[in-house]
Amino acid sequence: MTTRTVGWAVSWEYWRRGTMWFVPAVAGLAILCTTLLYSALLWRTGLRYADLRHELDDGLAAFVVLPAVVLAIASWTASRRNYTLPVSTPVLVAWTLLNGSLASATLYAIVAIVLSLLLGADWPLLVPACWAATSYALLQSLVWWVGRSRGLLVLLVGLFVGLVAPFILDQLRIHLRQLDGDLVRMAPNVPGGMLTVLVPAWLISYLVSVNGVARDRRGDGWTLDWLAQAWKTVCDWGGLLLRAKAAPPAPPLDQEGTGEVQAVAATYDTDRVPCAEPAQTTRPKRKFRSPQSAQFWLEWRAKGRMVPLSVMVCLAWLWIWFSIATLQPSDVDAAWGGLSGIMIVLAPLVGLHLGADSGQFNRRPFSTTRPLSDGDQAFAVLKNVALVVGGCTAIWLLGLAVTYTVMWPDHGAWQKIQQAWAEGPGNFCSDYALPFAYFVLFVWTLCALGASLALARGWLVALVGLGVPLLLTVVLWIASQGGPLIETLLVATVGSAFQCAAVILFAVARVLRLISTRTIVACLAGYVVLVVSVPTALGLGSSAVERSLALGLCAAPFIPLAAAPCALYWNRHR
Amino acid sequence: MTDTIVALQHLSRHFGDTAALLGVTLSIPRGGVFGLVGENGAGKTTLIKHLLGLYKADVGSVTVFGMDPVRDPAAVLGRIGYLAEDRDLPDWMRVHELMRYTKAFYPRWDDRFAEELLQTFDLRRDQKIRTLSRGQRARAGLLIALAHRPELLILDEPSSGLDPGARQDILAAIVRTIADEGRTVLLSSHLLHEVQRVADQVMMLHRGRLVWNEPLDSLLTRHHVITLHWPEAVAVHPVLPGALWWSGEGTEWTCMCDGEWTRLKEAAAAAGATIMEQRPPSLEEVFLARTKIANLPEAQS
Repeated sequence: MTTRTVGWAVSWEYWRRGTMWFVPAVAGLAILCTTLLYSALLWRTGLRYADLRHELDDGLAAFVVLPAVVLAIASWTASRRNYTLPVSTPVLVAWTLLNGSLASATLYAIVAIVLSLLLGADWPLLVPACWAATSYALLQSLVWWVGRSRGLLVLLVGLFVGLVAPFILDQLRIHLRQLDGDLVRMAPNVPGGMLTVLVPAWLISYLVSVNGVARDRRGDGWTLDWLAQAWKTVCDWGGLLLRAKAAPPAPPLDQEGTGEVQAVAATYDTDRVPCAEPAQTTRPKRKFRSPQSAQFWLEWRAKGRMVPLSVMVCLAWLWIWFSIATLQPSDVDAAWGGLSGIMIVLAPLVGLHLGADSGQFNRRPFSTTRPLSDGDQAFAVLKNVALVVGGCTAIWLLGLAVTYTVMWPDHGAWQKIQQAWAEGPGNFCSDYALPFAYFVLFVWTLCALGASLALARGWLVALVGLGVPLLLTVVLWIASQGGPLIETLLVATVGSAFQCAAVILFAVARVLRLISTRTIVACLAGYVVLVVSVPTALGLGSSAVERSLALGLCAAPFIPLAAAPCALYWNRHR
Repeated sequence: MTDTIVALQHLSRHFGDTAALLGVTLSIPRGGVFGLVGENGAGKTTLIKHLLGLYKADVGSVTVFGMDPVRDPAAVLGRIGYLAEDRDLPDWMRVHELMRYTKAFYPRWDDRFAEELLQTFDLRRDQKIRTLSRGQRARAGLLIALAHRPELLILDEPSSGLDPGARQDILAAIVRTIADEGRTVLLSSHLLHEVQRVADQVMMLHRGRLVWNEPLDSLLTRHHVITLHWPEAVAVHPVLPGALWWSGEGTEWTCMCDGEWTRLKEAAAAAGATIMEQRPPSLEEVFLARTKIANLPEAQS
């Protein structure tokens, strides 16, 4: 078999096993979220379209890093299926990295082109695509290098998002500042200086990947043995040097082993990484209160806790970056804004992760055979989503507060918040707490809809990922072509669609006995509260169309409560 | 309390153009071990998934404990212990976490029995599931399937890929389960000698159809393997009533027959042969003979 054949075979397998669907699906979701976010921003601020176009440039960074994160995590264990192929590790890694880099660049390019068409983002293509490809290679090499350790994976992804990604963003910003005018921005040239960073970074990633994959292929785990060995060598060399300086007489080798021999042996023993002896004793644990609490525990332990932990690690690395870099408050604002944007764009993807069953969209026998009703299983997933959204929000807010309190106490925005707090809870609530609560509700809706989608059958995820952005593009195109009447009709249709979806899903869930009357009543009460408060908060007019849209948007956060049980019922009982 | 715990009525299921189950009517009474046998793709796992409520019937009905497992999964699954073919357990859990988690779903979970099984299966409480060998995973799966003393234990290919020690444990567990009064075991397996060791009744699926469903004893009693001797070499074996397959050449031929022993003896004598040896067949021999016949083109047509 020649290298070319191997390369084609590995490439074919890489794209055919799902990447060819995964890339457009992720791009579609990212475009959808950005468009929704951007539309919400336009709507909320009341500014004109042209005034907010520059805001989109902050999102460029997110779409350079997003492909790397998504593709590297998706390929975490995928290369293992090729370990038994008669292909050397360097060849296997080279082709997988090449294809992954291509997928990453393609993912960025799709998003950039579509957003340029839809929203006039006018992002450059080639340079950020090259950065996206290199970011993927860097992160993939880290992910492969840590092997099977999830803890290290979280740490390294956090390191990447918190430390490497800001560096890449910084480089991109410098590059964009150097370019003048739209024509130059779209020019297909990569500066030579940038190549001196990109090419070595890709090569280093390749070498690190080969090392990690080769170790994993041998079946060896990730250990600190090599560090202990290196430390021992350094100590030995240090000892030799010291002895050479002092030149003491060599002690006789004592037969009893009471002198240096024993000391060296003791040092050696302490340097050695001890064999992991599994502990035999366990703490007595509390019983679960109910099957529902056991299921929630499973969801949280298996998938949920990783998300706030990743946010926490990301925050820690961000602080390190803030501490070592010389930054202006505007840069910090941009970093916070960019990372918050990444989180929103990632919300549906996180939802997909929380709804999936051990990385699969089709439910596995272990979870489907738990003696728990479909409604209870779906609510355990949604409860997990709520906890994750709440936890991440709390961590992010705390991080924001600590950053500004400790590092930039004189920052204008921070002082405004403090002033609002000092003026009394009424002002603070109306100016900050309520808008923030709506924002959290928005994130919950995206995340919970993603989880509900993941509870349904696998093919639906790809279909929605591709279909909804397509539908949105068509709708926006029609809106741009038609006059105000068409626009009004479309807005009314969107509002009605949300309301109809909510009514139908709740009715189906009730008929199938997936949702209790108490839950329906609670949802209705919540809906009424939102209907009363949201139009005022968002400054909506009293026209029928705006009312219809407001009613639809207020229904959206409750849709997952009916959609998730229905999706699970459909997936569990085939 | 009903005596029939599983009732399938004209159950059919298609996946695209492929018929996985075709008009299966079956009833499993309380108590005893029921072996479910068939070739790969015969529909065994599909049938089991219908019992667990993971598949909805295209045509026909499924009731388990008098309930529809799709409409009422919690009530049905709460009385079933299930060991999946692919030993699907959460890799990240430790054994004691798996036990604690599973216990929450079953009010009748027996802690003492669970501890006993833990020791019998030689599992350590602190071991992570991902570090367990295939045999240990099967034992861990069996532990959580058995420890709540289910009324119906469903084992889907419990012995596949396991060493003799693990297989022995599983068989012992089955014996232990049926020792409890009124418990029922549905065992789907390719290892027919194991099914023969423990099953009271055997059901065979072939291309989605239920072709046998009868007590093992009666199945083995009505089948015979006989060796016939002719004084002179015969080129082609004679036609005997109920003969399922023939092997041999010249003067000595062996055949498996399905029929009454006295009638066979008379037919052999009429064909000019002497019966040299007669023995009861194993379940595997009956299965192979029946499958061979069912796969013949004329049988399919």
